[in-house]
Amino acid sequence: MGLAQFFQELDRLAADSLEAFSRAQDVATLESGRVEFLGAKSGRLKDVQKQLGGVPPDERPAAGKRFNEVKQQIQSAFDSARDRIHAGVTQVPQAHVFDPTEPGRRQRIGRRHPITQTIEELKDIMGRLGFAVADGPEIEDEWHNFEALNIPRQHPARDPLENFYLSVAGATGNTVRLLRSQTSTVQIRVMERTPPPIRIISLGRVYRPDTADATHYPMFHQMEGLLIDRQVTMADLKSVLRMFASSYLGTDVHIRFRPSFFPFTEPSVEVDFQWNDGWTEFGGAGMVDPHVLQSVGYDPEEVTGFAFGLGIERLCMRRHGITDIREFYKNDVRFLEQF
Amino acid sequence: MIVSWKWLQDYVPLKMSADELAHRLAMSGFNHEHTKTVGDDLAIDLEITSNRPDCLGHLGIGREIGVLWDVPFRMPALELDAKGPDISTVCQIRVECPEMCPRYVARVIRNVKVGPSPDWLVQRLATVGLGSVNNVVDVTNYVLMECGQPLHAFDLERLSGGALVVRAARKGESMVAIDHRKYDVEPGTCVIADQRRPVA
Repeated sequence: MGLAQFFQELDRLAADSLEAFSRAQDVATLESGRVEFLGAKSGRLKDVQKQLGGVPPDERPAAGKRFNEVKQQIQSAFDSARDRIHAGVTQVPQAHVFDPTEPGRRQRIGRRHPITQTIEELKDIMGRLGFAVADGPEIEDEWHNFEALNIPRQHPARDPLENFYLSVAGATGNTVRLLRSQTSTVQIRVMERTPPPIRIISLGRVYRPDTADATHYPMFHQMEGLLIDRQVTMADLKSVLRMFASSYLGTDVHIRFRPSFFPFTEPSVEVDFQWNDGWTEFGGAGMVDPHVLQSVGYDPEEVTGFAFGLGIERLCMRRHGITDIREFYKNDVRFLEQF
Repeated sequence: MIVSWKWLQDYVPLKMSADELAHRLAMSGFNHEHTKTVGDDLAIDLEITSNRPDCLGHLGIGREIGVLWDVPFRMPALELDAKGPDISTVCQIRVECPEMCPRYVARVIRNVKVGPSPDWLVQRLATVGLGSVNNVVDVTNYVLMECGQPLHAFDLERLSGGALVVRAARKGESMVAIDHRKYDVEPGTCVIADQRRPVA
């Protein structure tokens, strides 16, 4: 091959490649141009390079020099085309470029509220002790919230200032309704439709018009337990509560009963758990009052039972060292994401 | 219910410490709220559950302590110097609503001189959180805090017809209460009235 012919080949290659690269508008065309002209195996530049060997030896230095010039020309045309295309692309990088080396942006994943977590744990513990979960409405009538629980009409617990009565009650005229002030309402509903024996827990919201402070909130959660069978005694109550306390607190803890009074249990006790060096009150309990058993159609001579109610917020606060109940309901993600 | 450490000793000896007393009472069903020092006395605040109204007074708590420590409880002796004319010639008491108030009792005391209370009485009332008004009002409060029975003192000369009638309130009635404020009385509410209007 003569030098002139070689130069001709080079010029055509240069012209074709420069045009192709200057026209390239996207990454795909640029890449196919790169393969066509600069491809390491069968690119056209490579073909021309091979022809260099056919040039007579005395003309080879000139041919080589010219080849290098063209090669640089093509390379720089490719570079500038690439820069041009990528510059356009970087304005919307997510749309076109996936960079597998870039650290990922994590999805912000929510988590369950600490109270919900506590409720799940309590259900799990009581489930192992054979208690099934029962549910009831948060809007109640006076029969389930008071009457059936041995709280007669004149009782101070029924004071409008102690309860959230619904104003629709006055409008409809016949039934007074209120937000339940205790989960004991569910006891009545379950006993009304189920013959004994019964072994249930009920967990949920209750409402009392307290002013919110570090230990009070107008809405809070209770876990109510009820066991009705033949010959149930206070010893059973104490065993169940002690097993519950040991399971929840993780060590073998003692519990303590202090005499108290509730209209729906007789006798009634306050329940203290041993906590660190002292005793902490976690709720109330007692043997179901015979009047309550009668009001749901049970025979108090046949069956006896116990009931207990524990404050879920209090259990959760103790577990996590939370000192203010209001934190639960501020919905501050910085607080909630710690659980 | 706030009880005075010194006052309790009228009825029962207190050989234990105040902490031990509060703890033991708490363990028998009288939740101990707190103990505060008032002057040279201690004010012990106990929560009385609604099944124990017998303990809404120093006598009741004293009786409870007597049982818990097995020490004698001293009920003050009642000495009444009842003389003068037959009570029915002085004042009539009629209960017209026995379903709301089964029993109403009164006594006429003559020659009362209204004035300040003695210091010991003022101090005992201060310990349990009550301010002194005058000897008559203070005595009613003192008896309330002693035995849990609410009392009311009336000026016999100002009772219309010299009578006390316990009855249901009528429509549109109102009364000025002990806090000097006027209240409308819901019909059917149990009121103490003289011949004309509710007085308590």
